[in-house]
Amino acid sequence: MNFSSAVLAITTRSSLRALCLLLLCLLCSSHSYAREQANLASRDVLILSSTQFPSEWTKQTIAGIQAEFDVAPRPVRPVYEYLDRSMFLNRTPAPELAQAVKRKYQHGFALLIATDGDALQFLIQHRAEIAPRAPIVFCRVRKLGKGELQGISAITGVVDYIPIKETLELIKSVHPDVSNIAVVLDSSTVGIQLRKELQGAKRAAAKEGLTITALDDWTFTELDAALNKLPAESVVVLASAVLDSSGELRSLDESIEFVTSRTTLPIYTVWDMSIQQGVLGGVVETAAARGRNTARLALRVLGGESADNIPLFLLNSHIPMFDYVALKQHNVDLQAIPSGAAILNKPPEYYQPNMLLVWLGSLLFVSQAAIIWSLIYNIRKRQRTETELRHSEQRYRTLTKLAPVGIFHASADAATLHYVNDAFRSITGLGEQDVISEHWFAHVHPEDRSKVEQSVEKMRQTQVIERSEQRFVRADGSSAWIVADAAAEYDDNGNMTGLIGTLTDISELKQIQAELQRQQAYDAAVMNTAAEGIIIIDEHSTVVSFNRAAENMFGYAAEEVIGNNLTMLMPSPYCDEHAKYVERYLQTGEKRVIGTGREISGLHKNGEQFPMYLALSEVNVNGERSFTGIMRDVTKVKAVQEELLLKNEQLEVLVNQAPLGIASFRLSGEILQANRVFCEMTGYSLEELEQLSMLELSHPKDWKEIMQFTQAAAQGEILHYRRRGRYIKKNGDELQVEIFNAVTHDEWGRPHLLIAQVMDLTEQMLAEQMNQVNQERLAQVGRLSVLGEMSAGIAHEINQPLTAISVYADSGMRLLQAGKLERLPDVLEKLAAQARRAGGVIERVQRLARRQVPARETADCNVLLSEVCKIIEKDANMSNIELTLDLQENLPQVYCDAIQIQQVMLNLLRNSVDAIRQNPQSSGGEITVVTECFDQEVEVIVSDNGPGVDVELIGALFEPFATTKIKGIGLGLPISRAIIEAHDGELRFSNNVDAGATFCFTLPTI
Amino acid sequence: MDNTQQTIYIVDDDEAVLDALALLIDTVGLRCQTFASALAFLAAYDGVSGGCLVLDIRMPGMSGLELQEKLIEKHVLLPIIFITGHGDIPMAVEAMRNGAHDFIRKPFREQELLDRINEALAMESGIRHQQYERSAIMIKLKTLTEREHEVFQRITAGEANKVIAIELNISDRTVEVHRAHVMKKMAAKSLAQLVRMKLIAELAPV
Repeated sequence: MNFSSAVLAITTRSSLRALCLLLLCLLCSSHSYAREQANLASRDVLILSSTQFPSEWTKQTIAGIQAEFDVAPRPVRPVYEYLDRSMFLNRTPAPELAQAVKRKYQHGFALLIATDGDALQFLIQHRAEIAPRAPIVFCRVRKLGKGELQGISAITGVVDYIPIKETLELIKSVHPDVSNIAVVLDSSTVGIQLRKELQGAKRAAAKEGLTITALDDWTFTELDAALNKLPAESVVVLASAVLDSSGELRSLDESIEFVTSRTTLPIYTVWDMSIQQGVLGGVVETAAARGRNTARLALRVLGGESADNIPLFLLNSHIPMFDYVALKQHNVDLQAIPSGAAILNKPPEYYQPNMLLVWLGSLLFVSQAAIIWSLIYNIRKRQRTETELRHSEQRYRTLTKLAPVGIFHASADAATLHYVNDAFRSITGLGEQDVISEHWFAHVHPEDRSKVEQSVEKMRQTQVIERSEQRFVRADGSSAWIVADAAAEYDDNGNMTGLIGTLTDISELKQIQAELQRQQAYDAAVMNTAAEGIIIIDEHSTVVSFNRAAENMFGYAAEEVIGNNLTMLMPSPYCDEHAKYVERYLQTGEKRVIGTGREISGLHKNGEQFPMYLALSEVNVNGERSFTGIMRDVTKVKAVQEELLLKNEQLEVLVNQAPLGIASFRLSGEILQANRVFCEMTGYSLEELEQLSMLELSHPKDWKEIMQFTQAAAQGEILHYRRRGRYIKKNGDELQVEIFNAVTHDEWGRPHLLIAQVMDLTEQMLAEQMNQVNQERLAQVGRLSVLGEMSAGIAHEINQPLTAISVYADSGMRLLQAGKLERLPDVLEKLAAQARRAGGVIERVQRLARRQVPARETADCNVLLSEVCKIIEKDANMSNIELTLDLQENLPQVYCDAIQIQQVMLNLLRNSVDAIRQNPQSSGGEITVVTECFDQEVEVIVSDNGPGVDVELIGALFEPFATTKIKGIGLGLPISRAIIEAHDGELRFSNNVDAGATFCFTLPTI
Repeated sequence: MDNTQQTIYIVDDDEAVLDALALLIDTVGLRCQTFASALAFLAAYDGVSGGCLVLDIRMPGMSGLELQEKLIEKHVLLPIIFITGHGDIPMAVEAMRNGAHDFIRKPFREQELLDRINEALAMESGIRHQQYERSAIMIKLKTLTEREHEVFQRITAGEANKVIAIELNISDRTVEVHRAHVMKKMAAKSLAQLVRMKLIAELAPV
């Protein structure tokens, strides 16, 4: 029982309680079964107790009865009834109670058992009504009064007494020093009975010097005070404390608790069930023993013995009993305790005399402990599990709160959302109202609504949940792409009870996807429309992508190449090198081609190699390297390049070797390039020129003009212009130049650069100045040269007077013959006049040739000759005549009329040209002019390869008017001779041996 | 025919030469007119007067050759004698090609010039007479009626009166009358004279 109660105490939880009950049921099941099988009518027993509710005393008494019944050879069927105690005390038990019992148990009883005095009294009074023939067996603690059972038949029982005296003796032996023993006695039947018994004990104790105080006739309040007033060396005997003088009733347990809580003094009792509740001990009667003895009497009666024949059984089963815990608490010497005493809570000593019980108890204990342990283990485990569950739940709660995905819990039809997390709200934009109601559906994008409806409908019908994508329209009007995943929840019957799932905002993903698709489309478009071949390879040089241009370039279809090694597109030296390049790059990371470009050879499908330009770039995506090569077939480009190079070189040579200065400059005047001649002209190096502008290079007086020109060129009004101007050379000198500027245009046709071709005019200007100086002299020379051509005119001039003279003379003759003499003087006079006129003509011609005043000066024949040659050169060139000058250097100066000498030179040269021209030769004419100095004379020799002079003409060569020229008048050579002779020189002639003639004249040196 | 009615036109830019030539021509009793330039002559000459032209090739302004071209354009029939100087031979050749009567090189012998002038005058007068006769015949021809002209053509072609009558479908008598009118109008004394007139008329004008 103690273990059971201990178990009960521990197993507060309902489950354990159920388990215990189950255990008890198992223990009792065999007895229940036996009872049911017996002949119940003859063995029905009423067991009546007076207590209103079963006290511990009563319970143990009944338990003792029951225990004995349980082992009875024939089964007994007991019925337990309880009297209302308060009714007892206040008035006579009502006959109605007996009537009630009688009605309740109409079949009657074979035996009536009273467990206390009050119950016995009731049964004696009402046996006739309840069961008239049934014998009564009772047990009571009160001693029977004399004749108390007189006249009552069929009655027997167990009589007990309360061992108060034995208890007092025990106290004395255990507590030798005790001086005062306070005995608590209440107003109950027991208490009142004990007061009398205590009187004798008091007297006996007083003799031993021991005070025994009876605490009686109190209310609980008064008892409290009394207990507090007890002296220190006191011992309390709790005899009975359930009913106070005011009639307040407390249960046994309550009364014990009341007393033990009011005092720290050792407390003794006379009831076994009172020990262990803070009560130290006492000589006690065990209620169970009384119950068992009662039951044995009852069985004997039921077995057929007459109750009247069975004497009252005087029970004397009192034993000293202690609570080990209380003993320790009060420091009681265990040696002082009588040897036969039972000490509770001291197992060895307790179990020794009850080996079987111990073993059984141990077994029970072990089994129960095992059960308990397993239960505790289970509890702990469950607690742990629960804790873990709680933590887990907490974690999940946190997770759902923090999760970037929306999490929801919805009804099975998806119509109602039971729970959503924050992310769900922020993704969908659903508010609190939307979540709990069905409004969420209204937030689905209108275009996706039907899709969602369909999938929900499908889910309802088939219970298959599909992953779905749809858009939600948020409160702010933006829409979000959502992918929803859900799993169904099922009850035990397999019906779907709800949905739990996640929502992921894939707007960005969608966007990225779309972007990616677009990018892929772009890439594909770029790849396939690119004019360049694009090949992508992986780290192992395996071709991954091969675009259309590459197909055209290499002659392979993409399928033929993709998946193969790139080297199939390379001619032999390259494909070996390629592997090394790639290997080296992957090992060292040293870039040779990547990021730059180079020209290599490609291998066409037909085996031909072709030059191509390759640009290579590397892409590293998640550690996977790939290489993209962009290549262009440069066969044509190369050809064009080479041609261009050639042309460029030609152009460069042309520009650099040109006798002109050439420079290019921007419209702003910035000089970009200049050739060698330009640099030499200006005295600047090319680098210096690049820092200069055209304006800086030009004379300030030209600036206005330059700017006007440049502006006109910039506006496209002129494409080129020519101007004369001055450059300022590096050394500060002015440079006269003639510039021809041409405008170049850029690719849009806008004026871009100016190319200047610059001619150094210095020499030309000098020559022009010289020309101006010589103009007059040359005019004279020209005049003379005209003389020859005018010879016909001169002849006419002379012929006129001669004709007139002749005619006059003839006319005069006729007049004379006709005798008309009167007219003769006039005729003769006219004749004379014409003669004079003719003379005048001659004189004029002579004067023209001679010049009236010869102007003598020092001159260099070479210089004179050079000037004359310039005049004759043009004629000579036109007639394909080569004019060769062989002039002696440092020719001495001569003192002469330069114009006249030049007339002679011109005359001789012209004669030669005319002579050659009249007799053209296939080999072309040659005129050689030589100057020499001999012996104080300068000699000028003009020689030609013409026909020479006719032999018959040689004699008259220097005579006037002897000529072979159609338009000649034959005065050139005579006048020339006259001029030379006037200079104290000599003009000579000789025919050449092979062909032509040579004229030479001499002039004395100064 | 009648030299006295002809005039010798002399064009030379040289005053002395012009004067001397005029004196020379005067001494032989011929009439002459002198001009100092080609333009002066063109201005003065009426285009029909007979005679000959003595022309210097080389002149300032309009040269002798140019004047010749002008006269040809104007159908002036004056024979031209060119006087050339030294070295003007090519010009002279050209002048001859253009129909000059002759050319004389300066200095020349006077008699040679006079001979040339006389030749030219004679030729010029012959042409002039022939032209005069033709124009007279043409005038007479224009007085003939159409029928008389037909008859004139047939008579001069040697046809007999009868043949003419049949061809013209007129009577012999009428032919006779027309013939008589033709002879009278043309002032022809015989058929031979009439035929000669016809030949002259048919000559192309010179």
